[in-house]
Amino acid sequence: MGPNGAWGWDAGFVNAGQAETYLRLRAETELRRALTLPRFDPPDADGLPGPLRAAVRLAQPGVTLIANAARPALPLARRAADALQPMADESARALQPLADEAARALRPLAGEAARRLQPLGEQAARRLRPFAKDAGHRLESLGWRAFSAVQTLGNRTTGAIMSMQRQAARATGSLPVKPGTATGHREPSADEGVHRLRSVASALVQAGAIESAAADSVLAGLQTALLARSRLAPHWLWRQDMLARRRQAAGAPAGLYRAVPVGITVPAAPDSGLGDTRLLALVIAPDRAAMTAAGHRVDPPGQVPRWHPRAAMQGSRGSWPSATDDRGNSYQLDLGSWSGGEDGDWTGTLDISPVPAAGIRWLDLTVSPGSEPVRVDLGDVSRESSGAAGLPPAGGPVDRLFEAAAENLLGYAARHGDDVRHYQGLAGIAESATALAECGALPPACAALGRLAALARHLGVDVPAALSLGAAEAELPEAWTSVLENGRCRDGRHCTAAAAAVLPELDGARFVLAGLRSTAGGAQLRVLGWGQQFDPYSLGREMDGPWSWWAHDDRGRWHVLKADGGGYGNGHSDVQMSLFPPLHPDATSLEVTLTGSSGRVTATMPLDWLVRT
Amino acid sequence: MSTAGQGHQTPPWWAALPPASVGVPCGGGTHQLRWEQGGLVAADHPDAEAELVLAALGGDRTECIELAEAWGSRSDDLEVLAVGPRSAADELTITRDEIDQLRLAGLGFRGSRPLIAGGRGATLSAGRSAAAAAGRGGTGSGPAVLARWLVRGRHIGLLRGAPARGHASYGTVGSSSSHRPIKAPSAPGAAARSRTVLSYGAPERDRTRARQAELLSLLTLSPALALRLTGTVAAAWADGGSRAGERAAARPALVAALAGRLAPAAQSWLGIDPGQVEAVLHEDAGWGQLTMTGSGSDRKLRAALPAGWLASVWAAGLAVTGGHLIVAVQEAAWPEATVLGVPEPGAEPVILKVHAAGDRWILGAADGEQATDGEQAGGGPDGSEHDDGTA
Repeated sequence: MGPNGAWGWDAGFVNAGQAETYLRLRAETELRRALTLPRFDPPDADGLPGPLRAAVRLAQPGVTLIANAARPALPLARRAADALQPMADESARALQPLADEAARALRPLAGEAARRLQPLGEQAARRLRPFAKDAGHRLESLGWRAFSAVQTLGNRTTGAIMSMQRQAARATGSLPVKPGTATGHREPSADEGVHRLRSVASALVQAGAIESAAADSVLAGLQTALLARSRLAPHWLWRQDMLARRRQAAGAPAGLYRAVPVGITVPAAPDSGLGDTRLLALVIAPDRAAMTAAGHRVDPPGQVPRWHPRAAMQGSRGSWPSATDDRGNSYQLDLGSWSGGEDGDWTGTLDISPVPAAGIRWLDLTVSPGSEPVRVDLGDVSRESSGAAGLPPAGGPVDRLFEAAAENLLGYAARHGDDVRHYQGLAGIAESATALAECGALPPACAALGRLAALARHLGVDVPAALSLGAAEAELPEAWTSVLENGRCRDGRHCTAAAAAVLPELDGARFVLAGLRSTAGGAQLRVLGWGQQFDPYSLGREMDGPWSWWAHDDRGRWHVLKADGGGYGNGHSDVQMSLFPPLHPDATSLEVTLTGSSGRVTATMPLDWLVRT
Repeated sequence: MSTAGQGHQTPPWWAALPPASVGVPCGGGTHQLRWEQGGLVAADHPDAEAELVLAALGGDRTECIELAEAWGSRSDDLEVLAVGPRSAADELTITRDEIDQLRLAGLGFRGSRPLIAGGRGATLSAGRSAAAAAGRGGTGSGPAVLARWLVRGRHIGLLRGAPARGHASYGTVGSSSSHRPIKAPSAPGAAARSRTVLSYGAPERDRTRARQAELLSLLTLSPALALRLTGTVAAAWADGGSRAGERAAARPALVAALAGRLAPAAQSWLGIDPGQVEAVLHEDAGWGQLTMTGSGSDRKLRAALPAGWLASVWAAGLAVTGGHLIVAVQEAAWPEATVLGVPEPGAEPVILKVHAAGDRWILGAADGEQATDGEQAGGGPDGSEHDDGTA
């Protein structure tokens, strides 16, 4: 029995183990393919990955500066380099066929350095920025030289990097490939092959065709086989382990979850390089309390940064905001996490310690010593509603696979307009559909598959045969039609909203909506989570996990939500969800709907728009 | 030659394999691990059983004994089939240092330098080499000794010293972010929950990595021993093997193991694309079935072979000999064997006498009668005892 079909003369062996046999044979095929690929190039004694080494040898002085500056910072640099190795390998392979374009895009740098270093440089910049505090201390003696080099590199090559990133993504299938270009025929790397198999395994597990332990065993066997043949680096497994830790979350702790909008403006500290900061929402849960915040950087782009959200929250005497409750208890606030975009806007979370008791009625917040406290009333403002009338019915696990693929396509269409015709993202779900069909786990005339195929046809996207064969005739749900109709809108207000709501428990997880930032082309919703279970097979490739998020504003627009950044730890998550298309400029409330494996929950939150200064 | 007959007593699966040995560092010297007649023995430890008893009572455990014990514990482990070689040309290239890194993965020891001077060929693993460096019963220090503790499961102290665990972050292109491990500062029970999360996941992963490292250590002892370990596992699940009664549950793994090893052999035999080879497990009487369908690039080879084929034929390097796909071994006493070979798909198998000459099997008796070069796909016999030197 091969992975591509049954043959009649002795098919009896595949009953209970049909899906496992299928998956194991796929793994054999993947191993055979990977053996045609180059071997892993190990790091040097200082931990610099092979591709980076090659780039340093060939690159301009600016690039060498980064490497030289990084060396004294060992072991930080070594750890960072270790972490970057898989990405470097992947990026190098991904960009291999794009050498010509890369050379044009990155003319100031040598072609080889450009091809290998720029994706890495972008990754390095992204990775080093989160280390800003730590790295800042370590590099201070170098007079910000290294950090400036990273920054300079980033600024000089942003356009080129973005261009190459798009092309790399095209090559990996998440962005469109123009017909006739060679970039669509790149040979996937060994770890991409593992991810492909992981997606198929995930589909089979979700459909109940195979036990997760058996799927894990197949994937582990393939990884070890690739490792044994130097097609994967040990670091790759380390990174995978790190990502896999996210799946250890237990259920959300029992108890009261409260969220209230705040809407307080904190004036910027002098010379911080920042505009005023808005406190958006206060969240108190049984084991965590936090305040979400947003702000704007006022430094001119390209200038060596002196801004940091920490500066925004610290008063002139370096003190942090504090709070007291109605029972006389005192609390401290400290910056937990933050993220910023190139437009200068940033959002973040202030952790409150200790966690206030569930029954408190208000918090008096003192932003800086001597300032007048501002009271945050903890009256329950969360609103649950039945909502979600325009969405397709919540189906079974196989349906959700196809719904998720449709949501990805919708989100893409909303962002990329006519380019959606070249969307390549259906290849993965087609592979999963093939696996489900061959293992007898695809329902005949699957309605969700029908809706996905109908959506793809509506958008002019090629529908792989594996999807069209099993698809039933279907109409597009109202929510999807709304997203498509408003996909070209760029009329969202540029504003933040103090908004908060608590979603009812779903699949053992709790989510709290804690602040919203709107732009002309979309919006970002801050979501704090507890007990979130991740798809153990996605390992960072599918950040939304098994959830489906939708929102409906009170002006009738539907929005699809996709995770595009965040952090996880100790059973908590802190995620930024992007909404497409933008909120209606006159929207005053937003109904958010979450669908999981056991059902669907909805909460409505009023939008208290804060005027930007 | 005649059509395959019936009534032959099946020889032991290893009968067509010569002994093989490899040198490993042990107790400050180099000792021989010797494989013969289906088993691995620590040749320089004549009273291995007594050493095992002492080790169980808390005594030191030598490298030879550890490896022989690991070999025994893996003798029916299907993971060996998933990871082990698919053909003689399928080289396992992972280095000792990389295996050491794998052992240490997740504990914060991310060094890419060799942990122990000497590199490949000098050590078996960080833990073992550390013990060797420190002398028998010595305490030693550094990551290598810690790695030894890890391998033996005493790693709680390491976890306390490891970097913050249980968190991950990601961001968008062009954005910057800072995500400290999200913490629950003073919530009652929060710290306890955090510890629970860590203790739930980390040791399991560490054990997994340690087992991966152990398996890779065995499979990289030498190519000859890798083939023999693969054959050992296949024999355990074949008719008459220790796990034959549980074969139904292992069928997917055995089918994949068969397909993965038959494909390169069939490519050597027929020039067919390995992707066009389909295999099922033959579990009835007889040697199985081979059929070819289609033509040109669409032709497919469909094979039904027993699990024992992997042990007695493939592991012995007999898979393709003298232009035949060998499907069964009727008699064998290395370097001589009588086998059933299929000249082409769909044809009846014929009885062939073959003998080992150099690193291949050739048709004919050892005296040269009917001698014809055999095509070698599985590798294996090399005319003399395998000795790959120091592992």
